[in-house]
Amino acid sequence: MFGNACRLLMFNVLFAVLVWLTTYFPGLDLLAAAAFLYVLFIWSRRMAGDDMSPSGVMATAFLAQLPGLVFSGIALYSWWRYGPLTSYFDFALQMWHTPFLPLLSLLPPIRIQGFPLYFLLGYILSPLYIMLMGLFARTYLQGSGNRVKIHRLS
Amino acid sequence: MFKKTYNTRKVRRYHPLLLVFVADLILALLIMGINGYNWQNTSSRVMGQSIKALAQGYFGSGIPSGRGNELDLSDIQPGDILLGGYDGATYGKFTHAAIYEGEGIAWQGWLSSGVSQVSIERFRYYDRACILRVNTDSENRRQAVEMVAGWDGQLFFPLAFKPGDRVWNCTKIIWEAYRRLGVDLDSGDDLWITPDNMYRSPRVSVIAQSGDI
Repeated sequence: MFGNACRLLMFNVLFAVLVWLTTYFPGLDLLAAAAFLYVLFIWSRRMAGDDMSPSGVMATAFLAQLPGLVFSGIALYSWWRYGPLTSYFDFALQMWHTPFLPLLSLLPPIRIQGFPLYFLLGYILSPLYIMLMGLFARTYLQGSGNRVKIHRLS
Repeated sequence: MFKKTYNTRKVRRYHPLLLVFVADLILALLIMGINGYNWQNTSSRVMGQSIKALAQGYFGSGIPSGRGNELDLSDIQPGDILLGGYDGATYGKFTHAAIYEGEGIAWQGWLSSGVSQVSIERFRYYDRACILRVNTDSENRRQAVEMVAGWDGQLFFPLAFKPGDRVWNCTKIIWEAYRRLGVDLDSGDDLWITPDNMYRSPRVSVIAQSGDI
């Protein structure tokens, strides 16, 4: 679990750089973000294939997303403590979630309580990532369950 | 045989990371190549300057900070550019920019509000601030403000490159609006446009300034 979590963490960092660089070529950044999601999909299914339960995959994703969770936690705490001032942790959080940046840029420019949707989503992206990994792992188990049933029928 | 299988599995585990790392390197070299970067002149560019500043422990960004200034805001007109900055910033003397709309309000790019309005009084909190007027007619300046207002609520990213119109920072919104009107305010010819680049542009005049510039 720890090995997978470390690799996922490193993957997030390296892909953040990749997506940032692809924003130089508008359009390519969207492809890169889609590739990021696809690799996560494959990765979580592979972990499930190695006999890891969906909750185990989610625990791995939780460890891999610890920097994002810590940044959002501190940013929200400073918001609650000192008011809606932009802190360095908000910047750090945005950097951490750079792989999702092109997808966030497609959101409609609506505001909730004066804050744009992309900014507010930044705080829940790490929990969403963890849930998504669990969901991807479940699709593998459901798929393999069907295969077993089909085998039994034949 | 066991050793061979083990090594193959190890390579399979790490190859996505290696692949992304190589892609990072290729893209970085490609972008630097396109823009004519070389190791001799990098230090004079935004990247070199930022690396130097970060190495010296300067993490300053656009957040209003400093001793304050006495900027005279009485002559400001719609389409004028406000710059603010403080000591210890990462990418230059000035760290933030906004374009004046009128009635004491300007448009800026800001992380927690995206492309948004801000009171010009905020620029008094910086160590240094100035007002730049773009050398073009007032109709062009009005159109530039309207264009920036059209991007209201769009995404802010501090490291936004010059190309593209989905990801913005405070300086890029102003540069892009004027560029579309035929006025290029970039004096640095770099990957990014910074407030300092605008300050040094021959296409602007300094209307007022305050602080150590």
